[in-house]
Amino acid sequence: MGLDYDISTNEQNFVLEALKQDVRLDGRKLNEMREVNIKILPSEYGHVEVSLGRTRVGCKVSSEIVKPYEDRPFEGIFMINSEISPMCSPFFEVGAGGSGYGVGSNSSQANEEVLISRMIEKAVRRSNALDVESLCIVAGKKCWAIRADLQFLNYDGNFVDASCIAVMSALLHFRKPDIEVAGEDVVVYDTNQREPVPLSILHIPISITFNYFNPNGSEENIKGDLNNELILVDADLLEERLSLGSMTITLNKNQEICQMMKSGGLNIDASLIMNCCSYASKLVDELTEKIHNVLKQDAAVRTNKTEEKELRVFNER
Amino acid sequence: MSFVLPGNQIQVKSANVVLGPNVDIAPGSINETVLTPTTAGMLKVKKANPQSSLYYVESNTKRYVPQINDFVIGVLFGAFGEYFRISLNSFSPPVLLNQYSFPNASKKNRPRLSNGDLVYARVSAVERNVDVELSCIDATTGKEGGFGVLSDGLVFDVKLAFARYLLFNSDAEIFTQLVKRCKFEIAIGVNGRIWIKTDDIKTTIACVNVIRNSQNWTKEELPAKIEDTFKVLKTN
Repeated sequence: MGLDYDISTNEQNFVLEALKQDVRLDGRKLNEMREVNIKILPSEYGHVEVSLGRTRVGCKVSSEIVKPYEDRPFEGIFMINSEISPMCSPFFEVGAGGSGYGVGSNSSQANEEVLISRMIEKAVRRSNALDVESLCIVAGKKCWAIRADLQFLNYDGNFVDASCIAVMSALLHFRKPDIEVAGEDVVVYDTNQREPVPLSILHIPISITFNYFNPNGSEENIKGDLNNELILVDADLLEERLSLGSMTITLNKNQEICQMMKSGGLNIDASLIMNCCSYASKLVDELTEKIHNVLKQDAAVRTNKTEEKELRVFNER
Repeated sequence: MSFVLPGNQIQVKSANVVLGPNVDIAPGSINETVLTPTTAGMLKVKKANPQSSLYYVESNTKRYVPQINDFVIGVLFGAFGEYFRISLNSFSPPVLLNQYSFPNASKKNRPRLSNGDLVYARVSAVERNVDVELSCIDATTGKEGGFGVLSDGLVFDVKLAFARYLLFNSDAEIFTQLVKRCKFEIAIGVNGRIWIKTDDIKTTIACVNVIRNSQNWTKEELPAKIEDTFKVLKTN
């Protein structure tokens, strides 16, 4: 309701001065990301917690069998629920954006929340990261509905990048129960009876957010010809609030741009945007590697060695 | 010192008691000397003066509730009439600072402040149903007393108990270690805000990180961690 973070002129000047000297308040350089920590909760499949510095996001994937949409009988359903609760920061109000409760509300909080939700939706769902056709069971009658619930636990800037990593690693980790189809009848096997099956993930889109500052003020950006905008990766809360514009690029390992969003803010030269893209692709490679490593470690912990030995067709003699 | 919860009864020997923060007289015992804490925390007893002792409960929170005579750091974000509107906490209702609550301020000589300025002030009035008021005049001397606008430097948030600890213990280990490394100017508000100013930006950042992170450091590991923080910034 109009309440916002208090940011003093002192902080504003200090951040800009520090950025000019290529340092940030947490000691990073401009092009460094905060430490990404991906934690898979051991109790179940598809429950992941991602922290990006002090920003923390949880994601839980679940599945059920439902009737597909009338106009898309051969496709399953994939939903991402990303309502931001005030738990992560009083900046976000209950039902301000997200699921469309406060449609009339015009506050900056609501806008921000809608922007975050839309960006995650575009990055993950509309880039066809999850193959929805593989979720079809009986055409027009039954299909899997996969639902990813995001829980925003703490806000210190850059929710989009953190939640993108969270959704993708949760989807990669999730296993749905095995089924058998005989005509129109579907048998769902318990996870103890048959090994559950992973989802078919076509590619791993990862978002990287850049924030822009102009050391000479925003006026220079419009009038002058200098191109010395300061570009920083993975802004924290204070930097995000103070920046003059931001851009989110979603890429995958094959250097395909799935989504790119720059809503307002400073005018940036095309060549600088190209630089951002190539730098983002480097970061995406590292992050993809990291997700795969975490998943591999988790798989090693989960497999029960003795059980596997017993299930083997051949006995070692 | 012991851990207490609201509803506990604290028996006091003598009737000469000064009630500190988070302590109240237990209901129905006006004549007796039974106190009760209003929040969970550690009960502390201090000698207030030769006759009486001060009882208070120390507890840690993140949200600041103004108390009279607290030293606070606020951000100015508006002016109306003869008042400035100051925020002590993000997302909290604003408090007021009278333009005449500055030393030597008069109708002709008003303090010149603009939006976003940081102010170090004392809470001068807390009444129910009335806006909290601040003042930049030292209550005892009527002079400046270190209050006023804080220019340059950097402000950051810490937990309230930590801010109180630093304000009331100027010989805190963290400070004795920090003064060996650099010279700095500091203002501590019990609303969990600390303002610090040093000669250059990297040192300021190092100091901020040291103070903020030292909330979770033990006394033994302090020198090594300070060394690390400074080293990282100097090599960058």
